Amino acid sequence: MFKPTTYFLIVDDFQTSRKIVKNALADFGFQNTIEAADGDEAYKILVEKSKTVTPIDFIISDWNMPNMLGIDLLKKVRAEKEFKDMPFMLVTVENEPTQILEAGEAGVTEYVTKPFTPDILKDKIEAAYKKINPKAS
Amino acid sequence: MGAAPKISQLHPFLNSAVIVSLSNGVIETLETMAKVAGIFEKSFVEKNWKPPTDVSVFLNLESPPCKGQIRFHFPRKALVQICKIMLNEDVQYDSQIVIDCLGEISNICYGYAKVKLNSQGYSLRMALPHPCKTEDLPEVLSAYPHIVIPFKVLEETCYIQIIIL
Repeated sequence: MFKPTTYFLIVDDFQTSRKIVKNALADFGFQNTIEAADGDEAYKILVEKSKTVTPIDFIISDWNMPNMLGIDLLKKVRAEKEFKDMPFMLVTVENEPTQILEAGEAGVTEYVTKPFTPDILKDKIEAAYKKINPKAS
Repeated sequence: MGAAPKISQLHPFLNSAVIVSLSNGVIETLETMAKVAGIFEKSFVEKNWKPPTDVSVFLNLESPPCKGQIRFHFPRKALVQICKIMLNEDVQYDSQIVIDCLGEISNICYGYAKVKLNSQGYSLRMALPHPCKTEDLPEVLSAYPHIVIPFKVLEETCYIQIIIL
């Protein structure tokens, strides 16, 4: 599993949704989180934090947001050499087959459909860890 | 003289598939996210219906060439309880997050319905929820009657409203 010091960037236009994810992460032992209300703000935070001693390690993002959609944030992140392998989870109500395919092609690490329970979120974080660390048991 | 057409035949958004998908979306969302049950009451049709609630949210429905609006209305008392359960923390009665919470609930309900309906031939687009106090809801002019679906949550009456534009 990811280290407890893993730094999560939570992106959602609804504070309620960000708090649900943040509280669930805290219950799993992850205290380091920062929030953004849309993809545009998230990307700025990602770049700024990359210049510090506590860069972002994992992005959890909604899809449907004003200013910049989660899928566009994913594509922008994957286009940057520095962030191209960063775990990126979409937590969204958008789960039509064409959208799941688009997210897969864009390089999403895991995909969680709302409504979700904390257990589902935890399973997906563990699955993301195994994906980027295939030799981990 | 022929019989008046059924309400479900007046417009694609008044079809039972739309009503059932939105209703099931509410129940599923509240059960999963807040562990509360919703019990539906008899729906009704009324022109220019005004919700007797505190907090509301609207989303624009668009499935070309059809346009409409879906609105959810909740008493603040019920919403505060739901919000507390969803966040697993105390929530002040008058706090802004209570309104935000209804935005997220409606987002999930709409997403649930959108997937179901698009698999049945609709082409509903993504929609951003606009939560607000009920008294601040924008007026809408519609030639069609509104469909109103009341349901009880935590002993309070909430409503789904479908408006055709």
